[in-house]
Amino acid sequence: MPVRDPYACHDFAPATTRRAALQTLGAGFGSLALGGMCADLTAAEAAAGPVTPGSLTHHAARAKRVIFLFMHGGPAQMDTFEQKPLLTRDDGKSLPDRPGALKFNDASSKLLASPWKFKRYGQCGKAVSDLFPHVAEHVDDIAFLHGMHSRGQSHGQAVCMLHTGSDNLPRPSVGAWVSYGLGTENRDLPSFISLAPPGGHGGPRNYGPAFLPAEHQATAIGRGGRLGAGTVKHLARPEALSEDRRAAQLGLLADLNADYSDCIAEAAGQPDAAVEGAVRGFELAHRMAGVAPDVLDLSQETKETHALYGVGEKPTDGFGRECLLARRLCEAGVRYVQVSTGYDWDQHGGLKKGHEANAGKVDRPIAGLLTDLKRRGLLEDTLVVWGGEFGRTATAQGKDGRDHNPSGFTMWMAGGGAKGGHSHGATDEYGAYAVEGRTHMHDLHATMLHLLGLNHERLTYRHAGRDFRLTDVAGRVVNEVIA
Amino acid sequence: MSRRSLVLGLTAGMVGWGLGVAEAADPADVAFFETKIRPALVEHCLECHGAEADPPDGNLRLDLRAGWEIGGDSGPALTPGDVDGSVLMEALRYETYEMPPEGKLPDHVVADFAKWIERGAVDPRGGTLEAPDAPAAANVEIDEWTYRTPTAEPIPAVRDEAWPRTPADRFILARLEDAGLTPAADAPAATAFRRLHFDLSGLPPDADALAEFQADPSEARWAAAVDRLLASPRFGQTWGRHWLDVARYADSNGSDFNATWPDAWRYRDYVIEAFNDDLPFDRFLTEQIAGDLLPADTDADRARQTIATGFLALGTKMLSERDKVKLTMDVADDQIDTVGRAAMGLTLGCARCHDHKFDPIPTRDYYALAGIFASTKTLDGEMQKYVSDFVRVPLPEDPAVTAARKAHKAAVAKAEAAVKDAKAAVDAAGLVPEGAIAVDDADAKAVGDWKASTYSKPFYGKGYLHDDKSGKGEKSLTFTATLPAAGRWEARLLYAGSGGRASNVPVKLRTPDGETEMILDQTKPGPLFGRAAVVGEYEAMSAGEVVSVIVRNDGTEGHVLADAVVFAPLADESVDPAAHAAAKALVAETEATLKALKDNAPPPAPNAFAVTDRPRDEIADTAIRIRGEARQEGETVPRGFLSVCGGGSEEIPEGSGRLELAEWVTRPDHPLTGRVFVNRVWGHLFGRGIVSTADNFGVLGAPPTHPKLLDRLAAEFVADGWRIKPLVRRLVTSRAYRLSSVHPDALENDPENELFARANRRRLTAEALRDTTLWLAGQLEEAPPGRSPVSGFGRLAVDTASGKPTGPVEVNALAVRSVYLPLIRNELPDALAVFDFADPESVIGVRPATNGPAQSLFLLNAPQVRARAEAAADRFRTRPGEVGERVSELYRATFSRDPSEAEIRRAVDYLDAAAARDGEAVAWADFAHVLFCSAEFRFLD
Repeated sequence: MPVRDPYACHDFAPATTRRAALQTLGAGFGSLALGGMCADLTAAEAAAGPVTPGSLTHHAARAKRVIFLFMHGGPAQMDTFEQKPLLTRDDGKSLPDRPGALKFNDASSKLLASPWKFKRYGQCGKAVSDLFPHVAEHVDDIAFLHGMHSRGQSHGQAVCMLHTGSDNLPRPSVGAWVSYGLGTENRDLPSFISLAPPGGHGGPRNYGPAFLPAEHQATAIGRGGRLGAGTVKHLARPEALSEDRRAAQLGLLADLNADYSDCIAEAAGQPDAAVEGAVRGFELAHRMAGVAPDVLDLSQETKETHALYGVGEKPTDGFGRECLLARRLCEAGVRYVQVSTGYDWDQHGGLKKGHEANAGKVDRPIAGLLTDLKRRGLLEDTLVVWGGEFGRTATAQGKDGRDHNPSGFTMWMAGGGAKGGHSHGATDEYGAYAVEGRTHMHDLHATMLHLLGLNHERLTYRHAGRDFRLTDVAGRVVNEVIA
Repeated sequence: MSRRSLVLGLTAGMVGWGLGVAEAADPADVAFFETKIRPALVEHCLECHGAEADPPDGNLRLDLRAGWEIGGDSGPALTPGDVDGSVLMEALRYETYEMPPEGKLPDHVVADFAKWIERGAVDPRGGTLEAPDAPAAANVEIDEWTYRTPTAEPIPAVRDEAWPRTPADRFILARLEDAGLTPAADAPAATAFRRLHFDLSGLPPDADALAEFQADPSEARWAAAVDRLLASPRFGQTWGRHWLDVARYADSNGSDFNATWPDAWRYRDYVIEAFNDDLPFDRFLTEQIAGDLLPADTDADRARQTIATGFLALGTKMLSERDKVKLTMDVADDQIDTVGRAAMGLTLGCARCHDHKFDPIPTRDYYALAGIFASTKTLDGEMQKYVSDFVRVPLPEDPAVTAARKAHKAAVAKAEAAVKDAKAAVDAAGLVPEGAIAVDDADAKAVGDWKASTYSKPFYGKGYLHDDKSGKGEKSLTFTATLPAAGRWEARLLYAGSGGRASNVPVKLRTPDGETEMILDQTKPGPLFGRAAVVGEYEAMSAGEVVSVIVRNDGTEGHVLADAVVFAPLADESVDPAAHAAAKALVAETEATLKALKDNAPPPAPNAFAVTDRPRDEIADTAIRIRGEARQEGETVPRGFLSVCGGGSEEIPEGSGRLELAEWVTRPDHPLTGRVFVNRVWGHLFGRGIVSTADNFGVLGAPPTHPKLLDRLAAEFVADGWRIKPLVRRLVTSRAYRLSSVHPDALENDPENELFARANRRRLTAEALRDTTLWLAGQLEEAPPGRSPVSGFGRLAVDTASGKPTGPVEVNALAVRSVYLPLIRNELPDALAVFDFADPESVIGVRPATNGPAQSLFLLNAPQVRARAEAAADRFRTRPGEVGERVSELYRATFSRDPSEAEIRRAVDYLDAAAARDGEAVAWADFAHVLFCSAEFRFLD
């Protein structure tokens, strides 16, 4: 049967509406390589589960977005937020054997007292070590999880466990799940951004989509605890290309694309979704260009705000910029922002000096972030989560170090429905093992999703023959830390 | 489409119970259930184990009899009559699981449950777990289809006898006629020709070939083009890459410890060559699973077959996992998953923790396979503490090359020594300036037992002495010299300071004037050039005066060292500038020599990145792991294959069983292997497989649209000796392959194009997109590089601290075909990653198809795209002819079609305007750049 030659229509009228539309978007076609957004939903995704992306939540949400402050390397719980007086008393004695408890390969069995003093803060009277005097001022807004435990005695496993819920297999990251479940609040920005993420220990897996649609991958800015230029790949047009030339190119491109897609639409009786998607990619890129440079521009903040985060001062400048950028991204509608330190916190030796330097870099920026969120009314529906991939041993490694410890450590949450001034769970008297209010990493993930209005058992994606969840077959919402 | 009903049938069948309890039950037992058990279940259990819980915890439902009969992840919840053997009782008693989690039930309730089970667990509740939307009957058919050996189905009759060209066409047309549809028109000759070239070679047709075909678009010319393309090495470069997607090929480990795999590329080249040589697929698969266990006639064959087993080694692994038993099981899991999905389209990984929920794959079968892979060595030793190392199998090599490498190694060692000597000379020129006297440790007078050492480098002379941290207070060294002239002299003690040395070494200077003593801290490098310290000064009145330096070890704790003592005249300029400069020049020269040697290094000794069988005493069956936990061992199962595909426990006379597994997977009557591969080929040519989920032929996969067609193709494929090129030829010479991608009617009747009434419009692959821009720029290097894409990388491909690749490769500057680019996990080249390249984290039979600004921005702003656009523009701009003709040539090369008059007009207008402003070269580059960005360039119609 006769069908029209799809290419019979290359004789066209030159003026196209698409070109006009682009021109109305204004000049200054900068660009931003935002990998994760606005891609077309695939059929698999549409059929994927009870929650369709961007749809309503399973239940009323307490938080709309998350800032995850990742302390890469593993800060020691007994030196930061969980005071252990008996550890101080029994310094140098042996850690009593506990049947079934994790054996620490490298640590001796001699207890190591915390080199830092603890002081009480806030209405709740929470004791916080001298490493975090600024964060300590916010204890009444913070819910502490002292009974954390996780999987993975090596960094690679534990970091992936923290960010993806799996210590061995490639799985979508928490932010990718959140993006998949909730979509974005701003179609001109990606829903998931990772600031200075680790290059190793799983690298992009820790902010990747695995089998979820590619749009849920985080857009990374910077790497390994450094923001670098604070921007993303292929953001800027080639330097030699003037604005005029780029505008001319875009005009021609709009015409070529309009011809192609119109031609197909006419011959087939309707537009081709994939072609339209590709064409829209250019238009979206253009729209983003109007939004993103502003969002990424920290110089728009006042001096007072810079000072609040410690921007422009040593040693807080780096992490201060990350925290400030995180707030700006959240304000602009980004769902999930990962904020990473460098791979700094791994003090097998030099604990005193190392932890002091690390805390010195992050304490003021984090406190500044909490203050800033609160005064802007954002803390109410922004969940801030703090922690490392694991904690550290109560026993010494060398004279001045602690080994990895996934069997008991502290994380904390603030804002977004977290119960301020509350401490949940505990490790034993020395800080070695979680004994009370034991909270597995899966439980933390379940709780985070819960606060975002998502049921971790119902947020599923079908892949390789089964429905996958962030929490695998585990996870319990920790109601005790919900306000 | 859900096919759950079938599953339940199978699962229940395996459990072996289909109890019709209620009718025959004692009314007293029913009453007991109703009064004691049902209320307790409702109150304590159903919130998490009822119909409302989605999914129920542990996949166990207790709101109907079938729930506990079939059971959850841990199997049936109870066995009627067997109180102590019932999981439910263990849980209620808090012996294993602790249920309910909020607190143990009162003893009397637990006792009721025990009594109930003891009396036969009478449960009148009916109902099934079946999902309400499951259409049952069709699924059984599909499953029967999945596990049935394909046969050459008869070619169906069609009404329009004139349309079909091949048997495949008749299958397609018959379905269309049944549905009352007609196929789309044939695609225009140029469109079909472009499609064929991209599909078979990953590049567009060149202008001459295109013109020739357009002039005579006959069957004969089409067939000739097909033969030409199949014979070209580009075929293997394109089709080999399809298999590399499935094989999760990469040049580094990724994951926690991103180790470089310097030899993985040999597997890549093996795959490309296999496709070019048309290696039969059964042989290809066999070599990849067990090539090392096959006989080999020649060294070359042995090497090739060993390299092939890289297929099993390529998975990303948590190398730093400290629990090596778990790591072994994780590696086996990757191998089972890969062989299952790649070869058979089955998601076997599901059965690691429990019987497959949907497909008939019991956990026993999984561990029967796991025994085979656990008996295979994929990792060997540790490359650093806790970090497992991979297996390297040395490959045979031309002895001349081996000798050359040995010679090169010696030359490098020599050059390195020369650099070291030169550097030492620079130091020495400062340490022992003109006119100075050096007294080496060998010439010192020793009291007590001093140990000679060469451990801490550099040192003066042939070594240095230390006190061995013993005999404290008993040892001394005296360095004596006669000063040749009057004047001021400085005494310097040379030593290699570092932690562990003594911090308080007493050093005495004895002169005719008397003695001075100082305490020297040797825990740090010396203040003079990092190698020495001044230990005293003396003004000699005349030549011939005798002076000594005495080093003792009394009162010290750490090691006391002495390398030499230098007495240096204290001139205005203690270092001779000329000598120093000369020494420095020598350093530069020797370093340049060394660098030149290293830059021209012969390739490293060839190894295969491969697997081997474990030693005989480590080859064993493995135990089922409860819920997949590596340390929770259940029953040991004999090694074997899938029971549903006619496998089972197998006699494995020796070795791991991989050879037997390969033989079983490639049996001509295997129901899946042939079909799964033919379906992959169909999918690459038609834009979608007959089973659209190419890696999943199981119940949760998509059903086949044309099962009989696939069966016939598979049966022919196997009967013809599993040869791939004839299969491809058969498909691309069909009429269905050459249809137009638009069909005005089909959108309404068959929006998903399930019936293949038209061609599927596809995106160009990332590789085709990149290679074509290079080809248009005249820069594409098509020959295999023949060396590792990650040579020069460190042990880690990406440095953990900086997050940067450790190698010298500037990926964006490479012009090799994309298949030869380095594939460092976590660091894939942007040109690939942005355009939906197969992430080598797992088996990818169908790449995702996404659009997004990232793609647009890459094309608009990546410097390499721009550079290629400039080069391509130059090639066409500088040709002879009118500007319109040159525009046409660029269009033909880029889009494989002629531009319309209007398009030429527009292009010329653009070029004129741009040239007036920026010059002709810039105008053409901007124009070509726009063509590269255009939607038409990115799609294959």
